Amino acid sequence: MNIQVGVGSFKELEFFLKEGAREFYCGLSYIPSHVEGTSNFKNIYEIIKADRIIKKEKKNFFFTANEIDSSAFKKTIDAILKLHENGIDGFIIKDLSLLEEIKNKKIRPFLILSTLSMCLNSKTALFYKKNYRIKRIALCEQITPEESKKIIEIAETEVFLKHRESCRNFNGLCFLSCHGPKTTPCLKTYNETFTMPGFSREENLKHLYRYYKYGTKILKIGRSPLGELSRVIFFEAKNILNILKNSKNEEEFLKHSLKFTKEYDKVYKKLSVKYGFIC
Amino acid sequence: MLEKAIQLTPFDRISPTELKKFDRVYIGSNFCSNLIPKISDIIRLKDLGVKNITVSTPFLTDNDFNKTIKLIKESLKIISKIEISANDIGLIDKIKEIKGLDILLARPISHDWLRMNPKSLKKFLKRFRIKYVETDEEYMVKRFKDAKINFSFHYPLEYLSMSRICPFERKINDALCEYRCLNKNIVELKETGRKDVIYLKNNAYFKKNIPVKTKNIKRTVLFYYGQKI
Repeated sequence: MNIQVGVGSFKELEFFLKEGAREFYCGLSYIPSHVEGTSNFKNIYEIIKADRIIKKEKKNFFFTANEIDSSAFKKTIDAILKLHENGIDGFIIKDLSLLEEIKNKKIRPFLILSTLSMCLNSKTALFYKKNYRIKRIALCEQITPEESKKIIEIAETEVFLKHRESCRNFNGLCFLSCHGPKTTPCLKTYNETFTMPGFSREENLKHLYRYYKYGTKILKIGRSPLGELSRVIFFEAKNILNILKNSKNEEEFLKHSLKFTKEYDKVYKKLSVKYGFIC
Repeated sequence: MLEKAIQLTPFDRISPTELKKFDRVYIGSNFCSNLIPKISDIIRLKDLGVKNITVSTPFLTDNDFNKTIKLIKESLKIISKIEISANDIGLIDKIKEIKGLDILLARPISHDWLRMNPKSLKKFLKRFRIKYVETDEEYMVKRFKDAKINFSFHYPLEYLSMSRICPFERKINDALCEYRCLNKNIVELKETGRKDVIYLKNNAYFKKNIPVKTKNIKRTVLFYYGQKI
């Protein structure tokens, strides 16, 4: 399992290249890509320049355009064509109409189906694969490894480090008033005692172990609006992958990874105080 | 003429007299896989004299997908015409050629589709033989008022969010369900110090909305939560 990390500047790219990330992805501020307030490259030419740096290291670079917005449709397809022409490896897409347009343009980039596309079963995975040549699927955060098994057999897959980066509710189809890590209505308490449920840390780590065993290839680190936070998550992911590779079984992995992630909680706590996000 | 429908889960019990106030009954859930109806639920509705039935389906795992296909096939043996309200693109693609079946694009995936450019949206609706787009968004209905796209409008609850980790059971939907959500039809959730309310029904969160009247709304769907009809 390799790490894919979101980058929004040359400084970030240099940092994560040095630290051994295998894949990179980025967005552009004028192309909708779901994460509010995240850092983005300034323009296409910066992305092309970043791609050349990444190619020198024989690593991969993807561009994300995974939010639907009809007003940005033309701009989005133009950006995709320009980046494809300049050799970027592929695109992370959610929207059916964008996939259809890419197909109509008769280009064949490496396409990753965004986790926001709600692909929860193998028939849906096959639909995307057959109709749009999807090569990889970012697995929906709300399904289990057992439920994903057939999808993993059909396409390459990637998962987030879910105990740090996942939504309580269906990401992409959540319209609670959430504007980044400082608001998160899903983490608040209602009626004095009610909280919106999510997978526990233990469940998320167990999932990671099983995804690894079932053949998921990529562990993905999201583009955080706070650069410092991305770095901390990256280091945590790197260390957890080491534990994963060195554990004899699930039980051993859980024992060590749970202990390890609790240590990391202290760092997140400090950052949450510094930046005011809910942790 | 505007068709009036009611959305029930398989566990809702309302009197035949009340059912008669509606032209159509939706059974199931667009949000929870534990509320996919059984064939006995379809038979019960038929026996109660319901002529027009829509089966509501959520996003589907492989297990739920097979169950849903089986339900559709069995339903068509009992009634000659049925509607499926579907979120899952794999399911929509699979059932689009089945005779006797009308397909509705369900909430919440319709929220996404309605943000496509209108030309692409129309193309996809045609390709997948989608009869109505189901929505609860007044703004979007009005935006498409001249686009010859027909809607069914859900009220009085507008979708906000959903989870497969059930807020009542506190575990994932595929686990054995004790249907704790049925003890409380609807829960008002209020954050301390704030006035706005979120409504929890089954495994989804909503806010209130009211039905709108525009020529492209062909049907209204009342979401039943134990209220007086």
